[in-house]
Amino acid sequence: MISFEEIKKYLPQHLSSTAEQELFNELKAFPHNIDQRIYTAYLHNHTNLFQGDGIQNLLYIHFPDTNVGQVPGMILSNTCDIDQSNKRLMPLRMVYAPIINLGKYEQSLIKSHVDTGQRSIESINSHIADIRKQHISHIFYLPKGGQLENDSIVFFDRINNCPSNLLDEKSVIHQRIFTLSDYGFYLFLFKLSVHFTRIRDGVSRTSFRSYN
Amino acid sequence: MLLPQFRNLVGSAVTAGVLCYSYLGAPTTINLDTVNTNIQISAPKEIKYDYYQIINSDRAVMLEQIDIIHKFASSILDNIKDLDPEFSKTVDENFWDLI
Repeated sequence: MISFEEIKKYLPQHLSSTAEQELFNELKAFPHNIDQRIYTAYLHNHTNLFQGDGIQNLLYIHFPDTNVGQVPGMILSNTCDIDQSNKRLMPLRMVYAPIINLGKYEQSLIKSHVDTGQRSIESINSHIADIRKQHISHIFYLPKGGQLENDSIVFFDRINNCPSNLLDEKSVIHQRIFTLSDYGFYLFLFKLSVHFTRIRDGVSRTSFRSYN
Repeated sequence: MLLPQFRNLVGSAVTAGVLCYSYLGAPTTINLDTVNTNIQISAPKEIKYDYYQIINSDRAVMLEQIDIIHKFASSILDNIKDLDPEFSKTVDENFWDLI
């Protein structure tokens, strides 16, 4: 039987008691609070980049097209890994995914699937509703808020990388669109974990020894 | 007048006094048909270290937090869906227009 001390390791430990209470209040209210509460203004002028930050004007290549463009992106790297004050023998690069306008995505689906008679408008509406409820496994829904002017989405399967020091401290503040709150960050990490680390993939991975 | 000389009188008076309140300690008849056997009996609050105190307030909070996390995780995992490949293809074809 698992002990209470063991259980404690799996609960958020770095938060003040007020912040912890706030986090659990929001988790308790989920999914009826997927709105501006996922952001915080508290860290907006901080010079560090944080995991989950939205940043303007990141370089992006959409392979196999090799043209380089600029996109707003969401930082997927761990905060410690991209902290410039952490000196490393081999500095880690920053990974990020583009932030896509949900309204434009919806219109694009309507144009290519509803207008061509392939799908009903109801099926598209249902899909957009699923996105807003965070039901699509590899899409993170970002409601309009802070400096994010439109409801947006991030696809976890469309990741690029760049050197972590590409943005200096002033650029970080200038280009930051949002920073996630404790609740938003918990939700983000949960979905990121589900997307990248879920185990049930239905593949038998028998070791060499077993069949040699 | 010495007390021992009147011990019978004193003894009778004390017994009479105690008997007046003896009903307080008498067993009560409980009708088992009306007893809810699912009620958990808690220890008096002044007893701090008996086995009823295994779940203290810190641990009760921890259990509630685990319950909240479990419900939060379930509400996502129970409804999780994959993206239709056709929708993904639309993103590929129109990527730069969607930014």
